[in-house]
Amino acid sequence: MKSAQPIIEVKQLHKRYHGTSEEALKGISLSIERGENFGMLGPNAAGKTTLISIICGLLKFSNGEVIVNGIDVRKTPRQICPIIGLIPQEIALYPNLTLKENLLFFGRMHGLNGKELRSKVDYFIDIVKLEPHQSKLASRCSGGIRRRANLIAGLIHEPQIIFLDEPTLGTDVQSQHLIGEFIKELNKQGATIIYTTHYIKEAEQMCNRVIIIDNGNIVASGVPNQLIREQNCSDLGQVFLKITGKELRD
Amino acid sequence: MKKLSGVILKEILILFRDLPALLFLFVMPALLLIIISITEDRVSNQNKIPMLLIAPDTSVLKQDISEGLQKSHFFKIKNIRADDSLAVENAKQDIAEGKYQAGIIIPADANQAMAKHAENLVTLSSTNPAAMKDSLNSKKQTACINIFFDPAIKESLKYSLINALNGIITGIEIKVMIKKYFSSLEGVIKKQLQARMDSLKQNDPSVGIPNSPIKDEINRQVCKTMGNLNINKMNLKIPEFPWQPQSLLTLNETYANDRQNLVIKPSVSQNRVPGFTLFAMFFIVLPLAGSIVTERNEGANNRLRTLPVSYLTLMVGKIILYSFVCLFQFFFMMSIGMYVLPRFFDMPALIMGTHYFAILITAIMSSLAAIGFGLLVGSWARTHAQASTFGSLMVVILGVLGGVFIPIYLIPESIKTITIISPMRWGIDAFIDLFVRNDGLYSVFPNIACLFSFFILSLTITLYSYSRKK
Repeated sequence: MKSAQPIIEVKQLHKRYHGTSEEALKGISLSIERGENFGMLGPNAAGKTTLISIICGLLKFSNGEVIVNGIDVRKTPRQICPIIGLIPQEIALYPNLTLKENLLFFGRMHGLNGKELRSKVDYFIDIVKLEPHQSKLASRCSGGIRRRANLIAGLIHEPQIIFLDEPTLGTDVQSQHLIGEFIKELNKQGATIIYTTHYIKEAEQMCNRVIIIDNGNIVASGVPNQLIREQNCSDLGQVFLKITGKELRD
Repeated sequence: MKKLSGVILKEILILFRDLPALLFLFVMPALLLIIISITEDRVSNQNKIPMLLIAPDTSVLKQDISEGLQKSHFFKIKNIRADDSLAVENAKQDIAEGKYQAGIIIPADANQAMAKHAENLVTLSSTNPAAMKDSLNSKKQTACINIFFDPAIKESLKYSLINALNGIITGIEIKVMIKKYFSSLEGVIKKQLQARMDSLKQNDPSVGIPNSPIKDEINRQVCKTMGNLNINKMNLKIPEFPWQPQSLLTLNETYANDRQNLVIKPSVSQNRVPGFTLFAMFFIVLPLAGSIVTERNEGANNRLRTLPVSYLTLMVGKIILYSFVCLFQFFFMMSIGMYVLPRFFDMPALIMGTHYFAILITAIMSSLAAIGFGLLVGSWARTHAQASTFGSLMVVILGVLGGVFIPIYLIPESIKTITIISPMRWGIDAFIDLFVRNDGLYSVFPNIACLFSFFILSLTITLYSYSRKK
């Protein structure tokens, strides 16, 4: 069920990093509805990770307004922590803890304890098929296993809004499929998904709305099929190339 | 609370999986402590020792003692005018606090008393030798030179100074006694010669002869005879003089603090164990800064920042765990000093003094300062390698500046002023005060305050640096 009230509202967002002349975000405005599966696409250094970091309260911004679930992120960034889950691009796990210990730690930090915590950890381990690896140190697991553990470490507290920054990066097709299905399931259960990826096909299949960001601006926005039609392309990948060009980015 | 215990549990797991770093914390400083203590025990140090010479400007003794000590090239003498009792008290205070290793106080009347006593002895030697021997044995009338030691002075250094002073004093006494003795001897011999002359006069052929060339000739012959006389053949009686060193001047040795009976005998263990304990504690920088850098670089930090838990809580979790590690290091190093050094290396055992509460507080504050240093390095370093290389080097540098390897009083003046910035020095000084000077909490409070302030400052910088990185 989607609500009319946007869960995320970004107005005229500007961000300039210290010591740089060019803005990383040049007045971005967007609105994400509750329960949406929202895709953010863009070439390298387009500003996707910066935008997600700002919405999550990890980065300060120069100008504009960011409201998450009615909370002004500039004023009270920590208030949004309990309702968001971030799955960053990097593997955000402690290499010297086992996968299960990592999950227990992040669960505890979200205020979970005792049986509730253990049952949630076991549940998520089961969902992403990590039982055989749960006692291995994170540093000794393969990239795919760590990626799956990285995913559930951000979901252990069952957040309302889930930010996935390249969640399938460096994984095999089987893992991509498993992660994709899991995200769809979370979305079905009511979670709002904000998804960034370089796998355009993946976004086309998963997201009900996408934006394409380039050079700190939103250059296209809409339902994937609608964008494909509007741009007279055969898939979202072609749309992406048509709008952002073929020039390589840093 | 449950979040905090979660943080602590996580830190325990991470810490104990970094076994090389943990071993480094215990094995390396223990080895250094044993090797350097043994070496220092056997090698004499040639650096100049700072000491005070407190005496009136007019004192002849002051001149002789100052020259004698300076000739040894072993002591650096600072002269203090003993014009008022305040100057003497201040000097004693400086010695008690370890600013000077020793102080020699020459009373204003010492010179006069010594001369008077010498004269007495010489007189007695010719008139009443038995009374002279009694006087020598009783030493009641001797002039007294007071020597005050820093309670933390090394035993070998203390005895070097006493031996040097005894040598100088003996020299001074010999000089005075010879002068007095020979001036009295002159009278004694004159008297005997006069008697001899008188006996010769009885047979003097010129007696009754008026002044005449004959009488002059007789006198010449008598003088010639006297001149040719061997003093032994003359059978003159020279008084015995059973003089012995330190019969004129005595050295009164004492420690410069108020609790003479509580002074713990300084030893290599008393002086070295606190230093190497602090050194060991500061090596906490390796696992602590490493853990901060790893957390930041391996992506966990981004997730941590989206958790409903403050960075302060995450830091407090680290601080609590690492404080326990530091305290365990403290007791580990103390037990080496108390049991391993005397049992296996035939060295004096460490005695911890009597102020156990003050020792515990100092150990806790030293742990916090060491952790503060780890937090600073962790927030500054960008890579694990940076943190470990910089951290280790800084610990060694702070150790040298703090007096871990070379006692502060032997460090050249130009560097000595810099040593004040080393948190290790604050800790070492406090432990030396507690272990060797047997001072209490009040005396070490400034050091404890410095250690705690350093920790608070480090934590503040770490938290500020974290918030700025947003």
